[in-house]
Amino acid sequence: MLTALLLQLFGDDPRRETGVYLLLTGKRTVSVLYAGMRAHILQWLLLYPTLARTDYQAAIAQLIRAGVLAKTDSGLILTDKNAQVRAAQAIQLPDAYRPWMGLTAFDQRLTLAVQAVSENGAGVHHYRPAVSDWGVQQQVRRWYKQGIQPHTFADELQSLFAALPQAAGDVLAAGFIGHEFVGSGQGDLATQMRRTQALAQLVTLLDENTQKWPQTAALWGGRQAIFPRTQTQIVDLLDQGFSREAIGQRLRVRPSTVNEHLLTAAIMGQALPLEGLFPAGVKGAFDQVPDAAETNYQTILTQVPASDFFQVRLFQILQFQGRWPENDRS
Amino acid sequence: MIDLDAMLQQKFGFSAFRPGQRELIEATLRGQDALGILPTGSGKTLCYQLPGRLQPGLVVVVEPLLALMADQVARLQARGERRVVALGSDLSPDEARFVKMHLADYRFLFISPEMLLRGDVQALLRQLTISLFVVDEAHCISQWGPDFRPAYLQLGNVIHALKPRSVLALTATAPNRVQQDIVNGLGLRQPFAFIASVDRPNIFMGVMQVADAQSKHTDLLAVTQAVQGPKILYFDRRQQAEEVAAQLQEKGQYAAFYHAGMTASARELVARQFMVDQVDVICATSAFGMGIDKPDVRLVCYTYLPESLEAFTQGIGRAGRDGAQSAALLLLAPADMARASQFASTLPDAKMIKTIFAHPELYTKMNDPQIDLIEAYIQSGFSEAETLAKLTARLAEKQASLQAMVGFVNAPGCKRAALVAHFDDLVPTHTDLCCGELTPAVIAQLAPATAVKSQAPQAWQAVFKQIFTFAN
Ligand SMILES: [Zn+2]
Repeated sequence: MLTALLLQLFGDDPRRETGVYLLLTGKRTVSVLYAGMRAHILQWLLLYPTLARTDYQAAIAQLIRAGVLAKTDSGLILTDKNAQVRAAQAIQLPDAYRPWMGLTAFDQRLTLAVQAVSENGAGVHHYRPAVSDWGVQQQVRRWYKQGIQPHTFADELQSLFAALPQAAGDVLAAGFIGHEFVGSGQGDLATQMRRTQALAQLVTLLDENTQKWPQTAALWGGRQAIFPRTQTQIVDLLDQGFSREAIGQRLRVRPSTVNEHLLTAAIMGQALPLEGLFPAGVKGAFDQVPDAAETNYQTILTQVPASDFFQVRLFQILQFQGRWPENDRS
Repeated sequence: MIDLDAMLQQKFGFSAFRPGQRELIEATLRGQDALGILPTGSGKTLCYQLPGRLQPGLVVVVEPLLALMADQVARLQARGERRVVALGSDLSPDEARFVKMHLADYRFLFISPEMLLRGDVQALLRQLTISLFVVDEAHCISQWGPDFRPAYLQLGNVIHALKPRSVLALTATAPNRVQQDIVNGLGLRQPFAFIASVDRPNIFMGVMQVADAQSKHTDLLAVTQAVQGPKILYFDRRQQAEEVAAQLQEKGQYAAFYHAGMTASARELVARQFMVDQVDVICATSAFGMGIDKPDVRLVCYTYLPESLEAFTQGIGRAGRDGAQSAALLLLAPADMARASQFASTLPDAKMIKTIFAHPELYTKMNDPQIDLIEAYIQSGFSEAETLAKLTARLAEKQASLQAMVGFVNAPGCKRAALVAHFDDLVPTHTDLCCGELTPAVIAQLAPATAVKSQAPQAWQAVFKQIFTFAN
């Protein structure tokens, strides 16, 4: 059923086979993110971190053989719209999902926490842990030691589940392991995606109202930083009025690294102070570019000779997102 | 003198030792090296769990696979042992640093052979008293064997440097020359050896070659429905495992599938559903089995030709661990033979080796056995030329393993005798319930097993009532 999932990530515009794979598994480079943004699939970043490349390749090959995807020089295109509609019926993409939710790890923590509370509540302290990952075990142990009481956690989880759609609560509970209890969940990809959706809905509630469900919110741990701290530092310094060169010197990172972080931040929708990045003359020249939707950066570079690759790419990103300030255009 | 029986009862809840356990434990306790060849499911792990709890110092256990490590850690945790940790490639750098800093706090350390070869890890271990050094799946040291793992070749040096009080090598199957490789390779000093028979008299050895894929499929479904109790069906393709599970579900069977493409949580869930009898047919790839210590599996069926008799013996050994009559079945169509020999002749070529050697960091965690093997050579310090030479030599070994498997399938006469002879074991006498076709008459003689238990409720409210019994 992997084919049904993957088919939904392709469209009329050519998309690189590798780029889509790297997006799903969470490779966060500018080129992967930029392509993902243009293809409107950026929201699926990190959706499937455990997807093996060989499985991905086999599924794509199968889709090509079936004639629903076709190879072009610049990537794969969808050739059968109906097949895509059928795929969406077979496996629903979890639209509540966001990359910052950190669902893979939270899923494990929740599973282990529920087991620990269930076993301890039943007076059992030695049991085979439902999650073998050492890091997860340590995190849940620390969480528990903050003063978790089985009955208060059970009550909280109950009220949290009651705030979810019934089906979402059901699919999550079917994955639970507890004292003398094993959920009836299945291992297929459609279930995995339904579970991701349910977990995403649950995290959405936690994110909106941390106070209401404090123990579960603590277990979740808040929004996940999916980019390194350097990126935040760079954006902060830019906000304070430092130039790209000065930022690089201050943080001792290469100019190209500064540029990559800023482009990544822009792709992910962060607001950047454009005055510091585009001198007035250059900004004006970009405003005059004949076709603002031009995808070839070389073309724009020749139209704005005073600019560099960074500025062109940033211009393209902001144009695509509808965030390029249009006021100077006459 | 410690009362081992009392210890066994107290700490592990068993009333008696299984064959070989006491002898191996006593050897390690008196500081003697030991070699234990014990079939899977016969309690290999107790041989180091018990000494680990009796002696001061660290027990280091070398495991070839992360899944094996995770399973061993979970078993010890289930017994209430907290001072246990696995130092594997799945830890983040921060986690690994923490574990290394606190090594002295642990009683059991599970570690991959590659991790053990690292200088910093050895330096830390040299500062500790190692009471027992365990090499699990010790047959991985033998280049004659199908599971050869390059880093195992270096373990002898590691043992020499770490100077543990005693060394215990464990494996499920090892013909004579592999036993020799283990003793020499690890540098065991006059080891005590316990070698159990590979023969499992209570497992009927079914071998059936059918005309084509269609009749194979029909037979598979029929046999699965006819045999009562827990069953494991092995496939060499994930998709097939999924499809057959779905077909069995349609026929009213409690079936599930299991393979490495599933998330860790889904795998854990399905394995537990099988353990507690909520599911009684598992359609799996070879990823299923580790940590599955279910006593009453009544049928293990291979729907493809396993790569070796070692793998086959290990797989079917999951049947009938309670000693009651159970069955194994190797169900093959003509195309399966060709497919297997194609697998056995694929090995990485020189170009691929060169590419990976140039940038080994780019190819880790590719989930491709061929690439993983090359990575293993790199991690173990082999040069590109050595790797190519070793892999070329391995091709011949792989084909020899397959030939042994084919020889078994085509062996005239008793299949059990053919299997046992491969492991240099004493040949048993053929009986009516020994080997051949898995007919309805044979199936009728299989031991009864637990029926499928009621399923977990669907509604989350009902689930909460069951798992949070203490809540209102
Ligand atoms: Zn026989």
